[in-house]
Amino acid sequence: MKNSTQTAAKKLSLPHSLRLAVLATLVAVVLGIPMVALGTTDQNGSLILVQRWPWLLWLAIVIFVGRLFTAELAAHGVVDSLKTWLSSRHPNRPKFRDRNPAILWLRGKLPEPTVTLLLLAFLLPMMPFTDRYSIDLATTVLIYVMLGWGLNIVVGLAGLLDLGYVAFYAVGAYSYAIISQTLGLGFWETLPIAGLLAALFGILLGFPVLRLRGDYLAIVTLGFGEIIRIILLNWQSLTNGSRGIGGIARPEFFGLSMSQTAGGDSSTFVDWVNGNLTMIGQWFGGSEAGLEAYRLSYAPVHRITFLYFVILGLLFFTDFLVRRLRNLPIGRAWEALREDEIACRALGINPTMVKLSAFALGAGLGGLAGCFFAARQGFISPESFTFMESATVLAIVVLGGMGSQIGVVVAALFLVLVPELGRAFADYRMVGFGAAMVLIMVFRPEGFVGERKPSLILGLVGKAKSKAKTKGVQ
Amino acid sequence: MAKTTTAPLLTVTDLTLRFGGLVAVDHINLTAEKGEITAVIGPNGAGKTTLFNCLTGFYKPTSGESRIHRDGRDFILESLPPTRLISDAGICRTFQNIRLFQKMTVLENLIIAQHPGLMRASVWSIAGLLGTKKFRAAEAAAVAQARQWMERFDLLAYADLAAGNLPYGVQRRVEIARALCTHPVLLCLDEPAAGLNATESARLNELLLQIRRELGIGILLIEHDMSVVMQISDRIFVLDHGKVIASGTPAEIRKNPAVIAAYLGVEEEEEPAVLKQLSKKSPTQKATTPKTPTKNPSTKKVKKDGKK
Amino acid sequence: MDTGYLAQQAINGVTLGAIYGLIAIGYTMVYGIIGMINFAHGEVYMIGSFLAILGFILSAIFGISSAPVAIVVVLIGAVGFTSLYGWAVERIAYRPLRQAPRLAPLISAIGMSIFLQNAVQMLQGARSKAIQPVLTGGVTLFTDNDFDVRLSLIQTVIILATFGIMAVFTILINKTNFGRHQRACEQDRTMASLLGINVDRTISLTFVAGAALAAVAGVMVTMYYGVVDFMVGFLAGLKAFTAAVLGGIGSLPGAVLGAMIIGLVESLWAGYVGSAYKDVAAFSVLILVLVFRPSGLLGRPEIEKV
Repeated sequence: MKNSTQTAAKKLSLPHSLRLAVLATLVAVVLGIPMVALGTTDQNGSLILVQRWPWLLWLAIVIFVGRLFTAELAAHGVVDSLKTWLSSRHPNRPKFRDRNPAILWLRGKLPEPTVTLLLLAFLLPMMPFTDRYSIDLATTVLIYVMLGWGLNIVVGLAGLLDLGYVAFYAVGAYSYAIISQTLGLGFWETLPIAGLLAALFGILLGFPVLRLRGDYLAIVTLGFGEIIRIILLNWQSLTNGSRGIGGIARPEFFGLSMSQTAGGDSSTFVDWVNGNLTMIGQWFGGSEAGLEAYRLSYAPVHRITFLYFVILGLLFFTDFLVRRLRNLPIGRAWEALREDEIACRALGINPTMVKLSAFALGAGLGGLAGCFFAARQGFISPESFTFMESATVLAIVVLGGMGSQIGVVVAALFLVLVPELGRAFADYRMVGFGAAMVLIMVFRPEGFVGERKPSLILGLVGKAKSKAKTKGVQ
Repeated sequence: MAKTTTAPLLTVTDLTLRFGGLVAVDHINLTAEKGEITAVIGPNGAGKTTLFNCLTGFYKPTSGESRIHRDGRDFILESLPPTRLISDAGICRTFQNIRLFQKMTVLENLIIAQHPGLMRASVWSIAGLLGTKKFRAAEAAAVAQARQWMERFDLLAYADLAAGNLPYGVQRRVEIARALCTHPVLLCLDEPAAGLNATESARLNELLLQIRRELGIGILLIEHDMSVVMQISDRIFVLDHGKVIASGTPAEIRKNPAVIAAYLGVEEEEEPAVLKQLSKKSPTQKATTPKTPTKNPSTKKVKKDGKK
Repeated sequence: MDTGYLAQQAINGVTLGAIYGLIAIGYTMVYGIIGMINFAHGEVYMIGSFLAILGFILSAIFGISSAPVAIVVVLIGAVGFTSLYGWAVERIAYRPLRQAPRLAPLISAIGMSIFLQNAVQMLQGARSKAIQPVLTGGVTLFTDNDFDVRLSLIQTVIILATFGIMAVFTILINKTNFGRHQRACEQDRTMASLLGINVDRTISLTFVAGAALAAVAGVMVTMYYGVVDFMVGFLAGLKAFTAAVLGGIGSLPGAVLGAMIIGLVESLWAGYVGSAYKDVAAFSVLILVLVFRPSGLLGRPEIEKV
């Protein structure tokens, strides 16, 4: 019987698909008439009409073929099976990685996935194909990973929808810029201050508003993000307004400047290495001439690589902190709060304190990321801290899979690299980016990493670690 | 009130809660004793859950008070902040529509119930981050306690599974186990048998009796399922329209005409007047208790009467 | 304090509030029925504004010289096309996500918003578009210390049109079948579908209605300011959403009230303090109101279901 219905579906599918395709094309054409086929352009100070009917024709063709194709795929069950395959909500599907002995073996040997990835990232600057551009790009990815991990605590774990996360990023960045220029403190001294300041802002905002229901909280945080940006834009005396703050000091390497020339009585990294080269050479008994080959000359890539290692170091710290906290009572309370606030209250948990701690910690991590961002760019302006930035970080968290550490890494890679690789397409890339966000959500609403890892496993508590492998992670 | 030497575990005096013009709870007086199962029954909308919400700090009553007598000290529930209801007064509850932390495992659910203590042991998470011996010991103790309850409630097999995916009956047990992990002196159960089949419900009876016997704590129970209430309760309070209309042992309640009229159904020896009233009431009652279609003696009897 | 100046700022504020109100209704209705922030709504409004520009140019080309006729034609055209945009947005980005986790539609909405914004930038150009004022003239209401308090014709049109449309809309929601279905779905979608209401269609219609109102707002703003660019949707959408939340999301009168407050606060703040922090003032009002009335001014206070 199943067979007969299937053939029936096949027979019927083409007319049906055609109808869908025609409908979609019709809608697209109507939508396209005023926006694609017609347009306006400025000529001698007044607007004139432009007509681009061929564009509309192309759009119609693309839509028709595309819709026909997807409709046919859907009619033959391809879309459904694709969805099933993509969806981790299907418990019946035996996961490839749980069956494959090689992967199982590797998983037993390797540290946490995030740590593994970070260790791999550590090797990146040493790869032969790595150049200045790729390290710079990787640094950008890592900043977003940091932001994603910070926001993941708030949104993914505690379930508080924060649409103004960029505010804390901005607070961190401006803290460093202003403190280093007025008080003359270095990057490493300012880093914790920036984090704490951002956390303080988080508490200040969180205290009055955290009792608000989900979406009310969302709009309030969104408003807060805008408030911070507008203040940065208008408080000329402190932030220099829209012109931003430039000439921000770069991080130092144990007191050594990573720039070409060092200010004050400190020396540069290059000078230090070269100065000590003779000494190192003598230890190994090398000749003065042979050492010449190792003599460094200043190159900007040193600084960029160093910055890369700085953010990588921050990530190791963050990853450790967040993973550890997640398995502590506070982390479980965050998740419990996300699951059911009323049950939390019935169990004697104070929701405000739990929310506040998540909010403050997320904000603090955002502040650290901001501080690093300012130090890396050397220049900041309110333009870097728009809602788009909050939206991107939120998208990283949700696309990655709420609450998943490794998901954030994957999503950050995706969201930073895709527009970057599309740079050749200039204007089109953001269109594609938006469309991709919609498509991913439609096909995989629970994000890249959908499953949740328990914070503690009964079989593992107080027992030998070997049990972990046999039992696996549910 | 039977044991008059000490104050009862829970004393509710003149508790009233108004929602605008509606009096949801109307001057309720009741007591619950240590080591007893006290049932609160009544038709839907009688104010049972509202009463629970007042006791557990979700609603602030308009007037009246409830106090817990524990270790020679009195705690007035209305004046305790919600977080201290559990730690100080030792009152913990379950919910009519199960409220588990669905994506978290059963074990995690039971550990969260011990959150305040663990949080103290982790010293703002600092000791936890450092993994001090003291904290690890506290955590191990929490796990041990969770394990003990899981063993007793037959949940060990589900320990590492997400609570939301478990069968309904298992979820009910998890919720009770979770409440017990808070070390309550008074356990408030809101319709624990709702949605359970006959076997599960019988098993629940056993469990509740066992808890009462072994822990000696008081259990306050809202229930529609008469097979549960009549079998295990030591004392029953009947609510209707926010008022206590009767109280007593199951046997007494069974014979109380007011109760029968309001709620229970009719016994063979009752006067025909009640019978008439009841035949009018039965359809509404059937409609209002859709969750417990399996074992409701009253509806059964009504049907029998109808055939006569 | 000058009463004349105050009155002038109040008139400007009410005009602004009327426009915000039109957009806010779309937010509040969509939130009411599917409980999500329709982030792309600001973009739908932006498209409405572009359609207005195009419409006025087209009507000039076709030789419609009478301003009222042109406005009516442009309104009809803009409302028609924008409604279809509203429908398409829902169909593509939200309908497949009905059963998805709570944040998924939000992200797809943000994606949709990015898509629309950049598509319009790509197709219509990044530079802002300006047209000649369509309606000029107005009346001087009174003069106070040599300060003329003026109510321009366009302001009159905006305010009257807005309130007229809102009145029609209120009747629509309260009296028609669609309105009844809409309110039923708002209360309980499952039950509504069990009673034979086509929930998907009702939701689609809600988006269409919201988009239609946003298009009206777009036309009004184009006539009022005469300038449009592809980024106007974000801030206007944000303000309108703020207004909807301020008034109590889900409540139509609340959305209008909130919009009026936001419009007045903005315009008065700009008039007396300076325009730099007017947005800060608007958001601060929102935060303050929510702290003291967590469900907004006219929102139903939520009784906690335990």
